[in-house]
Parts: sequence; structure tokens; C-alpha cells
Amino acid sequence: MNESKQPPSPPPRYSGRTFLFLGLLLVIAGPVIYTVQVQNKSLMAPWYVPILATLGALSMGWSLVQRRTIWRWGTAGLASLFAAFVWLMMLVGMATPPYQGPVTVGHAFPSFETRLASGEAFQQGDLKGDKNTVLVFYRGHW
Amino acid sequence: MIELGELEKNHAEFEKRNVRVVAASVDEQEMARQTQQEFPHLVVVSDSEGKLIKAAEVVHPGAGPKGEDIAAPTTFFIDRQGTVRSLFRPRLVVTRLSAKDVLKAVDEMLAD
Repeated sequence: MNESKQPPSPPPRYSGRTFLFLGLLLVIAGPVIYTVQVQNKSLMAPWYVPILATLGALSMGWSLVQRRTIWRWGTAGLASLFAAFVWLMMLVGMATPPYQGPVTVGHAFPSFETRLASGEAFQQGDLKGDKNTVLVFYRGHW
Repeated sequence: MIELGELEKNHAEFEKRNVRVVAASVDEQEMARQTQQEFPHLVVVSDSEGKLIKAAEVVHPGAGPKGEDIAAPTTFFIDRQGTVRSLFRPRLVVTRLSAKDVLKAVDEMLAD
């Protein structure tokens, strides 16, 4: 009896679902890590957020190449929008204007008159004396 | 406010170096007083009329929550003669010098 050799089954068509979920994970990882960073009181520039979002969007895009479904179009599209938005924020939206003011290294701090939280006057002359000063301008209590 | 918290936490290091940390914003006096209570070792300035921010030109136009002008985060290092030794402006509004970075800059200032 001839045993008919079964033709080898074709390799399973890779659906790309792994890339879809990997992409989702990468996109979400950025904001999650940023939340942890802020909770740890670290204020460094979170460039990993747009980078992870871009890698996530690319991964989702690759899953779209494997199988074009409405879901994959939708999620890859949203991921790309999110990545673009975060890049825009990091490069433009959150950028501070470069310092172009009159304060120059090696020169006296400009003359000024203002008040302390206690109500006392505070002026340029108060910067001179027995202590060095670190003058930090912050955006406000909000 | 994380930045101020970190500077307050390290106040002993600043005192060791004979440095006072002055924190200035355009907050009204009431708000500035609360900040002063929260961070007793900092010297909190209530520059509500914007005179200091205008003198130093650290105004960030319209960047406040209601579109008002506020201070763009900037740090100046000033010696006992009132001379500016260095200044720092972060590239993004969400970044700041860590307390360690500030102390390092202070040490560089004092070394000269």
C-alpha cells in the first residue's frame, strides 16, 4: 500500500497580531513611564514618549501590512496621530523661548524692585551681601 | 513645584555653601505666602506686578493658564557682589535642573 505522503501544510499565514499588540504596548509605555518619572520627582526631558509612540505606530503599521482590517487601520491611524502630536508638543508646544534678556554673565543683575511673599521689599541691592544667590523663576503655583 | 520641593529638600546643602535660594513667580501675595509656608527654607518672591520678571526679561508671553504673562523657567547664579555668574533656561517647560545640577553649578561658581 502506498502511503500517500501528506504535502507539508503551508506555513500559517502570519496575521501580524503580535505587531498590533506590541505597537499598542509601545504607545502606552511612554505616558506610563512619564507618570512614574514625575512621581519620582525627576524633571528630565521625556524624549522616550515620542520615540516609543513612533515605534508603536510603526509596529501597528506593519501589522496593517500583514492584514488590512478596519480595526488595524483605525488603531494604526490613531497611534500615528498620537505620535505626531507628541513630537509636535516636544519640539514646538512645550518649547521655551531662548533667553535673550539683559542679564549677562559677568555683569551685575539688572536693577529691580519687588516684594517677598512676606510683603517685605526685595531689590537689586539685596543680592549683595554675605550670601550667594540662586534665583529661580518658576511658572507659578498652578 | 517639584523643582522647588527638591531645592527645599536639599536646603542643608545650600546652607553649607552659604547660598540662599530665591524662588520668584508672578503669584499674588496670598498664593506666594502658601508657597513660602510649604518651602520655609526658600525665599519666595511675589512678583505680582511683574517688575522683577520684566527687569530680567524672563517673561513668557501668554503662557499662563488664563493666557496671562508669566515667568519662563530660568535659573540665575549670582555671587555676593551681585554679579551674575551663570544662567540656565531649560529647552522645554516640563524640564528643570535637578537639585544636584544646581549644587554642581553653585560649586563651579564658588570655585572661581
